[in-house]
Amino acid sequence: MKTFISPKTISELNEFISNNKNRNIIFLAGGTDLLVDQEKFNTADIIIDLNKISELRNISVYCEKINIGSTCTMTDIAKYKQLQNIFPLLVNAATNVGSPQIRNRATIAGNIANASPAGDTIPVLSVAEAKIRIFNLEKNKELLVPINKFFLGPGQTILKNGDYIVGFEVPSKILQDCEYAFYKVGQRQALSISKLSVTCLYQLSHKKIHKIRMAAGSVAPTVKRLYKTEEYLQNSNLSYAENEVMRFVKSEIEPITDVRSTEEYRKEITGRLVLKCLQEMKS
Amino acid sequence: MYNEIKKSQNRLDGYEKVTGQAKFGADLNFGHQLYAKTVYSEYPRAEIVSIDISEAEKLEGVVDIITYEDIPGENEMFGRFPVLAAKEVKYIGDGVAVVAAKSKETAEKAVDLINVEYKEKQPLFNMKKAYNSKDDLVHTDKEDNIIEHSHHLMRKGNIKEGLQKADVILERTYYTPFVDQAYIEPEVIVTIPDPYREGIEIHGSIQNPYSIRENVAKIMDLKISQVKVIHSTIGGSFGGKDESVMLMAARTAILAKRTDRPIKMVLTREESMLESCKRHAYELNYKIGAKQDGTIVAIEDEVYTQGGPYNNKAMFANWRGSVHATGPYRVENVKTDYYGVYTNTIYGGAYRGFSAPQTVFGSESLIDELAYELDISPKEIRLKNCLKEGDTFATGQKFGPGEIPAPLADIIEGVCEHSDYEEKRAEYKEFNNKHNEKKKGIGISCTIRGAGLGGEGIDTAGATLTIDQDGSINLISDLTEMGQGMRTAHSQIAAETLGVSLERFTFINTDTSIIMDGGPTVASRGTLAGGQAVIEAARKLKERLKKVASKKLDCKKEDIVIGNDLIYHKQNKEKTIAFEDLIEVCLNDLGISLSAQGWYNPGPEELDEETGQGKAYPTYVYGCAVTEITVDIKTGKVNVDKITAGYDIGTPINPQQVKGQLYGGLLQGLGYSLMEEFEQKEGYLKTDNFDDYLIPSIKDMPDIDIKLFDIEDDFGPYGAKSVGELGIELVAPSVTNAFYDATGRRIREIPLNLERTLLGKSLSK
Ligand SMILES: Cc1cc2nc3c(=O)[nH]c(=O)nc-3n(C[C@H](O)[C@H](O)[C@H](O)COP(=O)(O)OP(=O)(O)OC[C@H]3O[C@@H](n4cnc5c(N)ncnc54)[C@H](O)[C@@H]3O)c2cc1C
Repeated sequence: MKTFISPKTISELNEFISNNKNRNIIFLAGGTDLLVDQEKFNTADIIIDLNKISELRNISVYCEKINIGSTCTMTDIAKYKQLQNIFPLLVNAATNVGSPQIRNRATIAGNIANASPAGDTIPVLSVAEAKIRIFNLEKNKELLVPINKFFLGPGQTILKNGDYIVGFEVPSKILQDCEYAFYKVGQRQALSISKLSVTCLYQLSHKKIHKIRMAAGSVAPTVKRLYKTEEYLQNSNLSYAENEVMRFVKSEIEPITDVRSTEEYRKEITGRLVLKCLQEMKS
Repeated sequence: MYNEIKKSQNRLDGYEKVTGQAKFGADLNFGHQLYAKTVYSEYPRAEIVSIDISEAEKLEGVVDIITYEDIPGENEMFGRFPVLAAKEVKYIGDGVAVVAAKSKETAEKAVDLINVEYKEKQPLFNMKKAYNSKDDLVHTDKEDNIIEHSHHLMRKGNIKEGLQKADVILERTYYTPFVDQAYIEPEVIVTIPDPYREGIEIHGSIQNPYSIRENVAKIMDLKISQVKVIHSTIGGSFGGKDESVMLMAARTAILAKRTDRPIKMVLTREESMLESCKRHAYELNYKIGAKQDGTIVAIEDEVYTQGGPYNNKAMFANWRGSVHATGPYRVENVKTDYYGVYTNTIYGGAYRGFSAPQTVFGSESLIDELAYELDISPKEIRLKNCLKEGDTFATGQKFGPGEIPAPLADIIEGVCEHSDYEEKRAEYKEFNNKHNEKKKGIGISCTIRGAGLGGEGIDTAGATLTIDQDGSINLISDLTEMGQGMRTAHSQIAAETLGVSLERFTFINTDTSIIMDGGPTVASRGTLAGGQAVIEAARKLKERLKKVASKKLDCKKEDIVIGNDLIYHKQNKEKTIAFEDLIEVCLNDLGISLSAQGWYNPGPEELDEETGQGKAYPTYVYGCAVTEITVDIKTGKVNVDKITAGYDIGTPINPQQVKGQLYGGLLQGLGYSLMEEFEQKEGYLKTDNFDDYLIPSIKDMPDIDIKLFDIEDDFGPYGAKSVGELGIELVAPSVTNAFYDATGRRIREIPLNLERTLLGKSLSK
């Protein structure tokens, strides 16, 4: 028999989890990934619905930090006024997810926990170097984990049975100093899972690249920060060699051919879009 | 002046549909019903060694399981479809066994417990290889892999001499993929045993109830009259809910008869994509000869259409294709050959257009290539060659007054002027000289389309109109409403003819046991043929009413007018009687029948099978589209910005519905142009649901501007012709032509997805 529960507070939730350590637990947020993944659903003993816990659905901005609760939906994010000013990159990504119906249900934690290489908020939180606040069952407390330590592979994260995402903490100072670019390539205008995406956060000073962070989606088992390319470009005065950049990008990603696109296409276009970001910086 | 037609009246079934009250096939449930599920083949081609159902039979809740051994009659239906495969599976969608269980879940479990042992064989996937093979045969009782009766040809003039007269000859090959109708509602059949007829009653999402009835009778060894088919409200079909529902009807009929219980079968999306027909994949080989001034002198073409292992449509679709292969142009020398080919893949069938989307893509790309080769404007070359009064079509049919109208030149001029075609071409050239990242292009395409079935079969149709005591009118057509708005169009025609208002009308879902078979609901003939039957029925009733009214008003029958729900003397308006009052007199005082049947029969078209010459279609519809696109050179993304189109579809009975048909068709055409394609690997489908088989969303809908050219043509009811299929076919060639205009690259295979526009090849190729 499966158990389904809808706790109303975090303490109720944590208590329940602690008492059911040995059973297979899954969390249900918007359900837009989970309901498609019947297998995962079927293997669970306990389904915990997170939607009734209002503490998890908050957005706040203070002390140079943005806190986003795990069950905030894409629509919540897109509509949150302050975010539009200080974190337009995330607003943009959230606005591009699926369709209005999907955005009304899809949560940010679901997008991250699902750990798809095509998850649209992942590259954004990666370049923002967000921290993920997770509840760790073993230690029975909350931990802050840097996003680059979170993903292990497609659909795989460091979360163990009973662990869940409480929310996200994004340092906002850097966001305000930086400019950004986000390109998502899909076949159609809506409901389009990315063939690939490129996200770039940068800061220029005196015609030099003072800071640059880049991430590419759908071109590796997990969303990929392009550290080598960043390093090559960091502190350069925008007189980079295009073919060098291409070479770095291509060496950092490992795209595959699947029903959505081909390896060849993904490699080439990721490179081109990185160059496009750089061109945009120049102008 | 008309009162009820040429008016954008609301749909009679619109309210129920938009408020979710309409009941579809899957909403039907009967007491004690069982749920049926099919065991599909595991290989694209294999010998069946054994089928072991013993484990599944033991499962609690399983009531019955059938295999090919349990078929009471013949195990072959139209198109050579077996109800269930006996010795060999010929593609991955073949059914091998069917389970009936007390719940859906049990049926699903039981399917997994059925053990089929196969001996794999090397499948035939490649169409040209299959065409050339004489020893490796999909059907071993044949001598080759060419689908029966699928070779159609057209011979006009002398192709050799024609090509010799040419200053330039182009040879080109074009390809189109299998695509799905992508209706929202997957297939449903609910079959119930009918103790009165000792037969069966079939409900569901059925486009063509009469052919289902005939095929089920054959495999059940029943009389046709023992099988009763009633279609439910249908959630889209576009030609698709035919072969798949025939298979489902046959399988559930056997189970219903054996278990004496209602059987419900609802396909999953994956099953629907696997088992339903697709638009045939084509290879079109063209050779065109022209004079330096752009005058076409000869077209030679050989077209191969992929049918999969079974096919009941290639012979019809190929005939339509062979008539239209040379496009809407005057060509004195023609040699056309269409061949349908069997392969061990998913199979081809009807999908809106029935050869036109493929053929028009080929022929309209071809003439565009000729234009650029000769450095003539794509518009001018079309104007120069398009069919005008005095010209003859590929079939030898003459155009002109009193014959078939030829308005295409006016439509081309109109659409080009409206879209600023030549100005934009120049403007985009300029734009492209200045921009490297984005390129803009404009493309044009034209079409001619035979209205109705033409030589495919006799375009008959029937309708019954019955006036009830309160003056309400029930309309029964033997044609099917699938969402195209046929009922509203029929009712408008009946209302106009009778002189009453549309509010009086109701209708029923077609029931094969209460109205005669008038043929399938295909070929955009619902209004064209069905409307004529409605007019006849309405005229009969009107005559009866006038006769009674003339006695009542004491005047001659000829002087009676019925209009605006009133019956009156044409000069003396004092002499009048309300419609309701007249009905009461007819029914209660005189006992006159107020039910009348209309039957339309235009007679067979005369055609010479050796040459294809003759009266292929009684009349034709026309269209021209201009499409503007933007290409992102970095990603290969093609964005369709605007489509300006003009059509002659005859009288628009309901202009709003006509535009709805065209908008929908254009958007489906856009999907065909840019993204739709079945990914197949070794005969298996890789795209079997809408997460990876992409169709356009509403956000992909470009700006569309449609102008209707209502050209006088008295063939159809009130001059109406055909519109249902016309929207799709102009899009793909106008997009690829625009792509050439934008980039200087000619793409001869659709869809123009990102990978193909950028790298020149798609996923599976
Ligand atoms: C039609 C359609 C279109 C889509 N388009 C896009 C798109 O354009 N871009 C995109 O990125 N995604 C898209 N998606 C995927 C999906 O909508 C997103 O990934 C979404 O953010 C998932 O969130 P959810 O709340 O629905 O997650 P759920 O389905 O509820 O959960 C997903 C997974 O995360 C786990 N989970 C959820 N919340 C937590 C938590 N707090 N802690 C730990 N684990 C948790 C669940 O157990 C499950 O494994 C689309 C999906 C559909 C069906």
